[in-house]
Amino acid sequence: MSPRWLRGIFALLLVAALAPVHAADDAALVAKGEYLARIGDCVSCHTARGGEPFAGGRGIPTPFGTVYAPNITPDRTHGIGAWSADDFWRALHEGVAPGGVLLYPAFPYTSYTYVTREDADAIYAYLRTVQPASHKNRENDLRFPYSVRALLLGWQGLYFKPATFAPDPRRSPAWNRGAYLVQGLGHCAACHSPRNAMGATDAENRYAGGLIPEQDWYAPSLNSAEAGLGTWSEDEIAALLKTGRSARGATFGPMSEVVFHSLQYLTDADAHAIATYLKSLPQQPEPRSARDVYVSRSLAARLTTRGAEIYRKECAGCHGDRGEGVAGIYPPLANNQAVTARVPANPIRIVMQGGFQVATAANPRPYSMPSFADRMSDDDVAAVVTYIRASWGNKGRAVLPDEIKLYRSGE
Amino acid sequence: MRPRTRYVPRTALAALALGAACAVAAAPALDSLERRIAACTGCHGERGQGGRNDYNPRLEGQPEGYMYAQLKHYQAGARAYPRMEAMVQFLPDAYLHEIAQYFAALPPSGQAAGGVGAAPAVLERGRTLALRGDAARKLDACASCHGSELSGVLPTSPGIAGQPYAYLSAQLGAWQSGTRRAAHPDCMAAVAHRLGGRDMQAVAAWLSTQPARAPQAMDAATREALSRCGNGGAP
Ligand code: HEC
Ligand code: HEC
Ligand code: HEC
Repeated sequence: MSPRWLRGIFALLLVAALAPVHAADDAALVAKGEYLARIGDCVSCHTARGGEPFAGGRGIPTPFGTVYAPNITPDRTHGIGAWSADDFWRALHEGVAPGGVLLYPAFPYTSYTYVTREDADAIYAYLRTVQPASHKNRENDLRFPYSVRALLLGWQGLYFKPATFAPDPRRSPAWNRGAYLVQGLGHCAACHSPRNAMGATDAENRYAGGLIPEQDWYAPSLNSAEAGLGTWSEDEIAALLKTGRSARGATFGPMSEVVFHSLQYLTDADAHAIATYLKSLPQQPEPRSARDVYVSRSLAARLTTRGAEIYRKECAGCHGDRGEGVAGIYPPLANNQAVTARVPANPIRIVMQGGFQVATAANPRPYSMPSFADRMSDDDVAAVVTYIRASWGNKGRAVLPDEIKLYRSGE
Repeated sequence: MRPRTRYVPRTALAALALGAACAVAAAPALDSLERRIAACTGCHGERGQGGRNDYNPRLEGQPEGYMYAQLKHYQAGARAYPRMEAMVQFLPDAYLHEIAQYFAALPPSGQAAGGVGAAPAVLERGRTLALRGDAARKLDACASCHGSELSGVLPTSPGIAGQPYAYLSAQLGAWQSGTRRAAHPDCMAAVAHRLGGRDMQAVAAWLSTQPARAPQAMDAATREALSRCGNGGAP
């Protein structure tokens, strides 16, 4: 018996003894990573429609062109299979890929920078277990000079600093958990904040509401005094996040996508933690928007009168005579920020395109709203939207027929 | 005085009862699939008979397998039409099956979409191509895969009779330009290329004058024709 051989046996025995423990640890780590990856909604951007999960290829439209999310499966050639945990951490935390490649902020590392190293490692462990895909990354389609990656050095210098989440010891653990998820993995600010000309969100206006670039959906303010979540109950917020509907309104457009791929998987505790945090945000007035327009009183009155007729005929059957909706089925329009938000993009688009509520475990056979684009003129859409924005206590400004064109062309 | 007061409420009650009965007949229960899928019927008609817009096809009686496959194609972006793609984006397979079943079970109206007032010679040309094809151009008759009544063959060949002209010609155009595709060898792409613009219009015009009927059962001849297409002719 050579000593080498003996050592071999010994090592084998040791591995055998430790393996079950490791396996259990690994499984727990991977499960945790899977949950966190869901809350980060990684799959949504990193999967092309009809494509393999995490294999990349989905285009993220920006005012500067399209950035294609890359393959983050463990494929060694086309994915991130050759990345170390440190490499992965730097991408999330600093927005830098191996070799010092600077990443475009269409990848929301401005939020993910708050993710802890421990959580990043869990996501890394999970991503190593997904099916490797040999899908080749697609070149970004950005206009010059934005196509020059090196220029991101200037952008990061101006608008981004790697940060860590600092818990507030005076607040409850639930509040801190909510703050961590909202600021970090949830990347709520990526949509719910206004962006400047360079596509950056600034800390001052965080959560003040934003028009999503190139998609023309408005992510409303989460902290405004008139229109924010201040008057929602925590249960209502948690219900909206987990099921896509609540007594205050239903999600649609990009928020439905977030609910579908991500937020419906929140544990009840995390959903409530997020609600606790959101409700504590300092209340601010809804900021001005480049889309603000002035509508004369007489025109607004004419639109409202016509809108009332259309509403009775086409909408009241579902949303109720007083915009009260039907609990759990049709969202109320009274006292609903989706209707009254300063930028009227959402009610206009909803009336034109209609759609199904997002399906979730809690709502697997959702109700839907018909599309009115083919049967209503711009004048009629403006009239009915003006009416619902100004009725039953709602106080949204009137909407001009010319504004409808803006959204119809995107249809 | 007295008989009248007694009489009036009774008619009023009867009228109320009748009204209520009518209302129930007109509006399906709130917790029904019909009410859930108002977005579908808003464009495709209350009974799936086709919409006010001639690009919106009729869906009644269409084979369930075909319907379901199309809904999945929209979801995956394999069939392009932004409004439909947005509709089905966040719906689970079980629900899509249920919706496909619902329309498949509706009896076709037996009506035509109305045609487009094409000249008799054009209609005759369309009829010949649809029912007999054109052997010289290796063009099979539409009927060889879509059934002798052109109302589809179970489980996956769609009915094309009674569809609006605008819809049919748009689809043929999409097969020709490659924006609508099926598994290789893509029979419909080949058909659209061989037909060409004029004949596409003729076939679409004639089909839109034909009554929509229920799809027929699979038979040996259709199976043989479909077997020459990619994926056994599954859409
Ligand atoms: C809003 C869309 C979006 C979301 C959500 C998103 N990503 Fe990305 N991600 C991108 C884009 C776009 C890029 C490419 C940026 C570039 O080209 O510079 C990217 C790049 C990356 C990279 C660098 C890969 C490489 O090959 O350079 C990694 C790693 C990554 N993302 C991981 C994640 C993880 C993990 C999550 C979830 C926690 C996530 N992403 C969520 C859009 C997104
Ligand atoms: C057949 C029933 C039905 C009809 C008719 C209908 N709606 Fe809706 N509406 C819905 C449903 C269901 C939703 C939720 C859709 C979603 O979540 O994507 C909705 C959502 C909305 C919303 C967004 C509110 C929110 O919180 O999600 C607005 C605004 C709206 N409808 C306005 C109208 C107007 C104006 C009309 C008439 C022109 C109308 N609706 C007709 C069923 C209907
Ligand atoms: C991809 C963009 C996007 C992201 C990321 C996103 N949202 Fe939204 N959100 C929207 C849009 C657009 C709306 C408006 C449509 C609607 O009401 O469903 C919205 C609506 C909402 C509403 C309803 C507001 C109201 O008054 O009706 C809440 C609450 C909300 N989001 C919370 C969040 C939270 C919390 C997060 C982070 C965990 C988040 N959102 C992340 C785009 C986004």
